[in-house]
Amino acid sequence: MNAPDPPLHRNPKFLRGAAQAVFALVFVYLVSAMLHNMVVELDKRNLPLGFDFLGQPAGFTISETIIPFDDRSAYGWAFLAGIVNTLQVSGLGIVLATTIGVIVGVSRLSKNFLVRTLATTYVEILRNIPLLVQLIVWYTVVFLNLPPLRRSLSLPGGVQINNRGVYFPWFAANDQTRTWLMVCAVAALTGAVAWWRVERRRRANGAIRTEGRSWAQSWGMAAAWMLGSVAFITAGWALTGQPPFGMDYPVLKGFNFRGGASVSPEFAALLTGLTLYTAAFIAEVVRAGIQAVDKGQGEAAAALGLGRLQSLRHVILPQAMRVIIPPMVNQYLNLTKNSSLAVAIAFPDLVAVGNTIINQSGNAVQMMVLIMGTYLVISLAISWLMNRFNQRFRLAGR
Amino acid sequence: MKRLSGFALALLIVIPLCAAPALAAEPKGILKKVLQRGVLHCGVNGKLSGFGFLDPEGRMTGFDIDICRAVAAALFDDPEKIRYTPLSAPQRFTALQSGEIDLLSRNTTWTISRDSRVGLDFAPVVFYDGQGMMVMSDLGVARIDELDGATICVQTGTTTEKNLTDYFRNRGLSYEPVVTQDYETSVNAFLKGRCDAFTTDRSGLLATKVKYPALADALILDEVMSKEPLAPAVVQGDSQWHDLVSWVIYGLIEAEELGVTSANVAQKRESTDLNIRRLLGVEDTFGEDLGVTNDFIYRIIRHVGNYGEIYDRHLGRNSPFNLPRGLNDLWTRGGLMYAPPLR
Ligand SMILES: N[C@@H](CCC(=O)N[C@@H](CS)C(=O)NCC(=O)O)C(=O)O
Repeated sequence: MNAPDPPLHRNPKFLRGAAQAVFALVFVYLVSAMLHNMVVELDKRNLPLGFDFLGQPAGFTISETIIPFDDRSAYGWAFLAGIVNTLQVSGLGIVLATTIGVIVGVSRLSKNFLVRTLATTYVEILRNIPLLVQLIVWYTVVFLNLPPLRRSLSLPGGVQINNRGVYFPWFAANDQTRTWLMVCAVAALTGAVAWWRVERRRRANGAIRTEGRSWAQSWGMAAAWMLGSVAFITAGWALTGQPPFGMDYPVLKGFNFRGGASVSPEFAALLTGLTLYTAAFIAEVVRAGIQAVDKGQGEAAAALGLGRLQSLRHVILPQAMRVIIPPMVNQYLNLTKNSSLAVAIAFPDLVAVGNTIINQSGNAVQMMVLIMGTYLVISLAISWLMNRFNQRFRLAGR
Repeated sequence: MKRLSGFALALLIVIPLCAAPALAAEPKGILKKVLQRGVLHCGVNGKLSGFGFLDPEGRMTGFDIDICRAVAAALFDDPEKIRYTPLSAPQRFTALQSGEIDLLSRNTTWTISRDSRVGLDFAPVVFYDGQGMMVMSDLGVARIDELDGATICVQTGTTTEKNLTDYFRNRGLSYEPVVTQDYETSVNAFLKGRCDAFTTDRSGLLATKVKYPALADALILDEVMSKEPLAPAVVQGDSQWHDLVSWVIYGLIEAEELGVTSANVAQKRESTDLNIRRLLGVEDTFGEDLGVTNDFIYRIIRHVGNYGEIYDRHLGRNSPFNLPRGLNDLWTRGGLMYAPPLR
């Protein structure tokens, strides 16, 4: 039979609810107290709390931006330039760190002593030195110590390397370029449509998507497409007597190299530092993931006559992925957040630019909110993307 | 469960008690707070020879440091009662606004935006400066106009970075900036040849040149790009504190004008000159009216010396810079140093 209800002060349901309510109250109180305090203090100092200042001209310059920026642009635009810089370095860093990390992680389990030891040394060194130190070393010891401008290292093909950056030739549009781009776009579109139709037919015919076949097929198709376009461009070039685009070479003019494209030592140092550091952690994640796959799987693959690489590609990695992806998300988030160490080596990421805006405009609170908000959005976006990827993987893998 | 809710209950009672003072944020005034605390929190440079840096014995010294010391002497009769916070250019104003420091004495230019929007109040100017440009002599550049298209190292969070943009824009010149958050990175980049030129206050250029042997034959170009009146700053809206810091500086200047030095200040207390008697607090109650003791200027001069002594010690004839007084001389000798009457 029903036991009599316990008195309120011993009723677990009530107590749990009460504790939560109390906690919520305290939390709300603390937050509002902080907000209130902030508003009072700002008001006392006669400091505004709006975001209008974002429209004011910045009046300072930023070393490098991807989006066009000069000192007459607005504070808000300057901050956006910082965000784009952060995204650029983090995006590239994630791709490169993953590539290197997977290679090193797999090498750590290699049967080859030398490979294994090299990989282990890499991980142990890179993982155990603070990133800030590594960045400063990359910047001041490596990139700033490249030859100075007047003794720039000239590589074949017009590449110039000196301590103001790496300069290389880059495409420049000529009067043919637009036509060519259009032709290429049409070709790519046709290719995509054709691919899609072939796939659909294959599926309809009940083709089983064994990975080996589609792997070989993709390579084949990609190669065919490449060959096709090269042939196409050459033919067109021969017919019109004009190349589809010009090349712009860096040349020393006045104080600096002009023309072509370039990568600054600040960007190079940040990207190198972030990539190599994060790759060490990713290597560990990959190694753990592979080791988590049952030994029998590898043995079974070997028994079926699969080579080591084949078994890695088709048997081990797909299963390891389930273990690898969640901690990998963490590493991606870390890399993105660590990119804020850019302030130490003069790369204008969003924190560096944010700091400058705080200092020049005096709107510390607003900018801190914007900086934190931006990181939150970036982090959530990465997590969301990786979650979707993870789900896909589970379905395809089973 | 019961314990937990007891704990939560305790939190509920305790937290408002803790938060309440923060909420009320008693407008007691910085002066009272500092006197009560017994230590002055001073934000300084920490790396700039002549102005604020660590000497070989590990003590903070320099022109800006002596301003902190003068204020501490006025408050506590002891110039050592200071906690120094070394700040980079972009950190300095936040440190003041957040109350981490009471006084900012760090080669800071007085501008209208800092006085209003950024929320500072400036004490009188202690050093009249201007922005300059430094290049290596082998670059073969003698004037700033010749730097069209050059790469220039500059520090963020400064008037310097804004003056640079204006100066080049007004003359239709272009440049590529390398913007660093701190001074040493900037100097280092310049030394390595990452930049063709390095720009900051001319006093800063000179200090940098003296500090780094590799810059021995660097050239400081003649043009003065801007006005940089350097002044100590306090947070906006506390006029009692602002007044005190201001009169510490006026006291330094007035003492020099009246010939009162650290060597003769004890004697001068016996002087019959009424100006000197008022300055040293023998007569009248200006000190008490400001919230400190009447002999506060006497204390300052005894411990730190007058304005001229401070200048000579760190920047002038007794220093490696041997910088002429120029605009920083007394008004009676053709400079701009001028204190309102102490009466
Ligand atoms: N007076 C200028 C510039 C002051 C400034 O920060 N100058 C630099 C170069 S001399 C500096 O002192 N840097 C030292 C540091 O950040 O450690 C201002 O107030 O904005």
